[in-house]
Amino acid sequence: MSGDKVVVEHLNAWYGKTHAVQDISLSFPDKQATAIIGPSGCGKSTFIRCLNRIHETQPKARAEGKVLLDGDDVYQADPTEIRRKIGMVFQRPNVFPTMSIYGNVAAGLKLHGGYSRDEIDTLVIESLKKSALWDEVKEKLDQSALQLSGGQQQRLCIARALAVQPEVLLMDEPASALDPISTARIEDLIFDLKNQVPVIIVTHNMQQAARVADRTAFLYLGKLVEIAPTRDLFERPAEKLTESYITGRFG
Amino acid sequence: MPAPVERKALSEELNQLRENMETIATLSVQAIERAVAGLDSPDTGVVGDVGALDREVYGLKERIVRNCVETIALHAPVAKDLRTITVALEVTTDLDRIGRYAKDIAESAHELHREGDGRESLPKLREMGNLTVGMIRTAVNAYLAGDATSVSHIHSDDDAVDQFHDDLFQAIIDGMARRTITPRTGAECILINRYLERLSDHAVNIGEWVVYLVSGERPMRLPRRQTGMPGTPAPPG
Repeated sequence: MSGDKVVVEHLNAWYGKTHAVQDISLSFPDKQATAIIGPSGCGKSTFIRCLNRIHETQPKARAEGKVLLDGDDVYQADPTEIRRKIGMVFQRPNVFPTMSIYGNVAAGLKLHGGYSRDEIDTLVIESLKKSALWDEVKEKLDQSALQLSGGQQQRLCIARALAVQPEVLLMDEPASALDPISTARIEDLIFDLKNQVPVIIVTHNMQQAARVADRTAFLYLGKLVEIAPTRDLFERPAEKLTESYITGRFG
Repeated sequence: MPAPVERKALSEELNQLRENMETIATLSVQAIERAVAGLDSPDTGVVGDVGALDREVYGLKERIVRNCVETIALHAPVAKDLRTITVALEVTTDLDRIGRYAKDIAESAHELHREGDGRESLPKLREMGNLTVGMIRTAVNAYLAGDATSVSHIHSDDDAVDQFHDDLFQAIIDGMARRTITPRTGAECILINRYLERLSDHAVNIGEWVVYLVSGERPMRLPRRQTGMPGTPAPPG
């Protein structure tokens, strides 16, 4: 489909003999947020980890099928470059504990290289502004990132992901460990970010999916059950299995 | 598939909602049946009985709305659960209006019987009332049974009521022009005629909400008919 930033075709993923993702084909349009929901162990985190080739870094993990970014096969490209283009934010904020706030955001830029000091400064400030953290940290950029609250650390991780100017942003339960205010900030952020890059968010929180995502996909036992515009999926799901899951009448 | 979860608290709320909807539906239907039956002959008890039913309907509607809002706030329902609650909110408003129109009809009928003239309009109003009451019964039963097929003809019934409305309106105006009906009686007949026409619209609303409840699809609404006095613009809403 034209206008799709990411196209997934017949993706399968395994951990050893466990077939975690089974023949999933999906596409992700530009400038939209897509939520992926499903019970624990349904393969949703594995699925998004295949998109930027983090899955294959796990022991005994492998993937088959195609993931196309702007038509180019992700699995034929340099994985480091792919991880720059397809950024990821994890469930728990994983700030670099020995680095300052500034250092955390600049880390990816320095790793990839090719940026002047001025360019790094500019990108760090821009990223902190985009992640709605700038006003809270602008006076203490050289302080340890560990001094920040959990919600601030998560936004710092988002700033770090944004600093390398990704083309797609993956988020794996980005607000599950946060309080309601921090969660709301992250959701506001997703709402703004999706206008810049496609956001693919894995969440257990049904209401969060309903609030932030344009489309929602439901996965079960490694398979895609249904994907639909979020409003349709939560108002009149096509599949009985989806209805059972989202209404909470499901084991 | 794992064993299903009951969601006991939500299920309890939905069961309570269902009981309340059954009650308010029964009361509303009783009110309109009693009011339309009051067209036949003078009965001083009708106004009081229908007024009491209308007050009960209104009180229950307030409670249902409050409970629905609480259920949405506490349980964040989706899919069929959400449709059950949103449809209950819509249908309870229609049922409340039915109770209110029943009271208005009972009062107008009481005035008609007191005036004593214009009796030639009553059989036609009664016939129209029977059709309207039938539509309300059908829509309410379909709602309580969750059966969208039984409301498939509700739009054609509404057309028949609309035709009654237009014909009766003209007949009443003619009667007033010939002075066989006093202005007071004519006004009451026109009001009853109008109430019955609006009641059939509420039956249609309920029927359409049943379709949405069952299928999740909102029926295509036909353009709103000019339901005001012939030659005047339709009222808002």
